[in-house]
Amino acid sequence: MIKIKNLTVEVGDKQILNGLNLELKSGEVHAIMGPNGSGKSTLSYVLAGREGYKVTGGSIELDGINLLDLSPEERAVIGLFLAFQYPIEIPGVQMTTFLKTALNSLRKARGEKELDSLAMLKLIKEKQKLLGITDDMLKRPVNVGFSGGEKKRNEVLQMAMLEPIFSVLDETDSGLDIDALKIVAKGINTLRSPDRSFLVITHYQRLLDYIQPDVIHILSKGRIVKTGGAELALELEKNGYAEFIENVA
Amino acid sequence: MLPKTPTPLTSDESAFIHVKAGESLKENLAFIRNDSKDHSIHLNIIVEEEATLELIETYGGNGSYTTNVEMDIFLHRNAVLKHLKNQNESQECVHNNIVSIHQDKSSSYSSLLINKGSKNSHYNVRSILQGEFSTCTFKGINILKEKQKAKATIAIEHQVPNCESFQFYRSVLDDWSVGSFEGRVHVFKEGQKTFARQMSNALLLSPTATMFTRPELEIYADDVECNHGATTGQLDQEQLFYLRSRGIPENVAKNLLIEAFISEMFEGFEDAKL
Repeated sequence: MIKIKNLTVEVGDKQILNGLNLELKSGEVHAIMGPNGSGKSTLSYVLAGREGYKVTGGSIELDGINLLDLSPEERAVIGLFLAFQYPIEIPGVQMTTFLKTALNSLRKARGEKELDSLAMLKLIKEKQKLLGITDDMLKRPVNVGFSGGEKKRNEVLQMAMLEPIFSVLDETDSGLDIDALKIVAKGINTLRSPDRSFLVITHYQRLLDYIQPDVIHILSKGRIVKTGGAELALELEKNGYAEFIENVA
Repeated sequence: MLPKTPTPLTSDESAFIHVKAGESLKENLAFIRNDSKDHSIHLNIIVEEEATLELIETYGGNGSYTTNVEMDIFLHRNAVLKHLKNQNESQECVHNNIVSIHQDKSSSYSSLLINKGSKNSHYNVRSILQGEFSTCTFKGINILKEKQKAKATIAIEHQVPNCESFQFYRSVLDDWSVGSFEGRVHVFKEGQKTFARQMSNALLLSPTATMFTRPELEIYADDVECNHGATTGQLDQEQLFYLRSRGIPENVAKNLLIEAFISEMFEGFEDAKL
């Protein structure tokens, strides 16, 4: 599914990722945990193809395709999705227009038939129920006037609509109360399947109580310093990041 | 007292639109040119007491020519005029439009100008609010590319108390195009309780596009609320990336953001199209 090899990335003049290696197989859920400044968000933006992140070495492949050659929209076409840590507000663009344009752009690029308004509406209705998204939210411009929890639920709604094969969730749990967290986790769990993988980036163990990952990685100073099972998160919860960071230093 | 008969017409291509008291009318005027000749158009519009007019003007054509439009508008007591102008002339054309508006008590004028055509266009308005509780709104959209130039000069005179005026402009400028907005609000000494707002926002799609904005407030009354503002910026890169990350191609995403930028202008003119 996804293979990241020896990835080095600079932002400005500063090296943020220092030879990161990561491999996810189809159907797997991996979590990346790490302290602030360890490179978690940089990894998610590099995967999605945001400008300003200079890849100085290494490679990223999704199903054998070199991601680094592709524009952000081309990455979405082959099945990548990033749930933003801070979803962007777009005044003047209605939610439904946005969802419709996005899904039909993907379908068009993949040579599939575009959905008409009725089919689209039906699909939105089905997905919005799952995530407790109100009709009122869909009438508003994208993320404008949404609470923190609504924004995160909206990210998962988009994910449910676009059905990516590889999703990166960048601190989707931050700023959520426990009820919102449960809704978001339910949305993600519903999408889990043998042909989809998820990379869950998080600061806290909390989200992992609801989305059980197969593998947990600890990121520190731009590189993965430890990989393990669910017990690793519990260990972190108890002892914090200190011992892992010192290991590197 | 405003006139109820036409002012002397200054050209052969003229129209006199007269809506009698209490009546309502929809009028569609289209001037499409394919003869590369210059044109002088005189439009004289009188809307009497309690009458309503919805006016749509459309300009288009091919070739190189000049269009001069002179427009006199008189709105009597409680008259309403909703005015849409589509300026989509040939890219080699020069389009000049001089508008004079006189408004009596409690009359309402609202307009949307969609300015896309001409290599050079000038929209020059003088609006006189001479009856209390009258209100006027001038909204404009400039969509310019290549070496197009468009200038709007709007001067509003608040001669009496309790009137409102609004000027809202959105300009989307690509290539080497130049937009210019000069909005003037003149509040006479008698014009107490005037409420006037003015805003010009420009989106520059290229580093060589230019926007000039010059707001002018000339106020002699001491109890008024007048404000003005202007912004000039570029497409938001974060918004663009967010849309693209959802699979929306760059050009489609840009168009979505441009449409979003001008969408507010269509309030009250929902049928209007770019």
